[in-house]
Amino acid sequence: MGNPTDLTVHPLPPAKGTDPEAVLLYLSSITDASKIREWFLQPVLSALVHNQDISDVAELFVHHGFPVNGSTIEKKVSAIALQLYEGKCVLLVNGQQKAVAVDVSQWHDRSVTAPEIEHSIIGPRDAFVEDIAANVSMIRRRIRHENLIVESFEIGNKSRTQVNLVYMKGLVNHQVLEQLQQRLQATNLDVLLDTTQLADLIVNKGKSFNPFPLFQVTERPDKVVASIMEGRILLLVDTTPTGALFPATVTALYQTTDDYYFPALSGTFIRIVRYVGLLITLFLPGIYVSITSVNYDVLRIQFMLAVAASREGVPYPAYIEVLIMMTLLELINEATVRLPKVIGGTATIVGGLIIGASVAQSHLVGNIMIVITGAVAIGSFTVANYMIGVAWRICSYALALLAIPWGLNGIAIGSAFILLFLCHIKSLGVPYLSPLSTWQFKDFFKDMLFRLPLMLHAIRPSIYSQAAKGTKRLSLQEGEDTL
Amino acid sequence: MIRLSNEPKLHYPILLFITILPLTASRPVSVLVDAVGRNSVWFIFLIVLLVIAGTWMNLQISRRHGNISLMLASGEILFRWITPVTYILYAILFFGVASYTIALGGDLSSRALLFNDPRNAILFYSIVSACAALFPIETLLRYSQVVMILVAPLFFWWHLPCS
Repeated sequence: MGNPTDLTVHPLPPAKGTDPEAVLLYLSSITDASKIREWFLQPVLSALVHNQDISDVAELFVHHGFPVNGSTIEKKVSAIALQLYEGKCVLLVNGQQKAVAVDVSQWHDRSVTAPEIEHSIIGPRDAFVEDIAANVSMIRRRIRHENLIVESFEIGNKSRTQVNLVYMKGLVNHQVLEQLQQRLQATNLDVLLDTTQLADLIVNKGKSFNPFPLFQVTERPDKVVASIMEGRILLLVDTTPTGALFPATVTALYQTTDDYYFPALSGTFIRIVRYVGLLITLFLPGIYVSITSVNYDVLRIQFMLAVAASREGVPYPAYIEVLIMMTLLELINEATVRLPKVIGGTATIVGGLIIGASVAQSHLVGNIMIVITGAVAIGSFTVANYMIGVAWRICSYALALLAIPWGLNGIAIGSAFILLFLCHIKSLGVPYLSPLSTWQFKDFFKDMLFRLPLMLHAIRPSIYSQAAKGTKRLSLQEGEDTL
Repeated sequence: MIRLSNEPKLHYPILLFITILPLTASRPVSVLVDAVGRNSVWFIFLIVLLVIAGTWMNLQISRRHGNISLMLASGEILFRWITPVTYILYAILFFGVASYTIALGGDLSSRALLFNDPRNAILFYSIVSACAALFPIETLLRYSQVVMILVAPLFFWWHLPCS
């Protein structure tokens, strides 16, 4: 075992020149000292205090109610080491052929806190933590039903990380489930660090350059439960405070929990705002390049005069202007994400206001470009999933580059290929652009473009799983039928 | 991009139908007549015949060889090299059909997107269509569908007399 510094060896009873009857081994860094004291040391100490016979340690422990969560293992170094690294203590008793391993693990977990990535205005405030058992308990607390299945896997030759698949029997998409199970069993990683690492290996087999996330990362148990009840599958990884939902579609990545907690009309309005944000992020830089470089006469003359006036004194073409501002935007964005929260706000103010105002005053960029940059930044921040937001920004750059020589035609061609690519990719067999590309008419209008009242989509969608198709999530009372 | 061995079930006639019909139908007959001559309106009936013939061929292939494409089936029936050749023929056909439909579809680019030169627009979009043809047919079907939902309404709106 390499003689680890946190390996503790307790002879029992405390040796006084004689061989101990038993030896207790554990790694002090990952075990609960109070459990060890209560279950193993206290009985010996109590016996010593009361001058009892402590020669038969095994009987002493049994007499004091030996912890029932123990299991017998081979008396081999490799087998014992495996148990020790899982936070168990191992009891070796003289004369016994087997050793006993008891779970006394104490991993240093944090308590449940509010979501940090997926904020919501209303709704539950608990978010996943690093402890996989706590995460499963959050789901079980919300679905107390026998059909909720939790399958366990162990990934990582060295990390031996526990991985769970959580789904609802009877609603799950069996093709997706089989693919997930097969790929999890085939995964041969050294150390598993995060859910996204495993999810990427599952959906892309680790060799795709696709920027669009084919799984949905979430830290909200309420979102997970709603997804599971639509036939999706959750992948949970121990030591990671996020789960990955399969399959993922663009629709799913644009849905937030607030959409469903708000009244239907408000939810629809918020969702449409988000889609408008997407359009602004994707097209605005390219359109600006087009109308200032190629297609001068596409807009009214008054507007073009305003654009020309704002660019007065700017010594280079519009696309350089766009590239400068977009690069600055990316730098500020990255700095804000990476910096500690205490000085993150300062970076935003310095970057956004001071640099923004200064570059306009010094005629490095036009005033309209500042407005466009602000709109693009805010538009990209409205997206519910950060990963797809980055993908859209990459597409936005590509469209702006195509607009340099070909103007609006370049944007049209680029958009066609982005759309074609989105139609092409699938998340574990489910088209990424469904229900739009699969033309599941009802699902498209009920819960993609709009968020209809719950009464009007009492039937589960069939986007993710055919098994969920036609099943009800809301039963109407007699005489309460709305449509 | 396309992988010959993993290509899903194909419906080429449906693709042709989806590609050609909306664009040709969207143009007034007078434009068709002006563009390619008075007899060109009968082109639509040729397309229908092509669709029927293609569907029949597809059914025959499906019956004999399962769910594989015309290209893969021709490679199995005749020689292996027939498959890439038929793919090239398909790309040429697609390119030609795309060019023709874009020409018939009018100067969308020159008018709506102010490209100013219909010939360039036809060339560009034909190349784009041919590149798009390299994707599997399932992707193209989905793409056609999304375009019909998102873009076609705008296209028709642009061509309304009042717009």
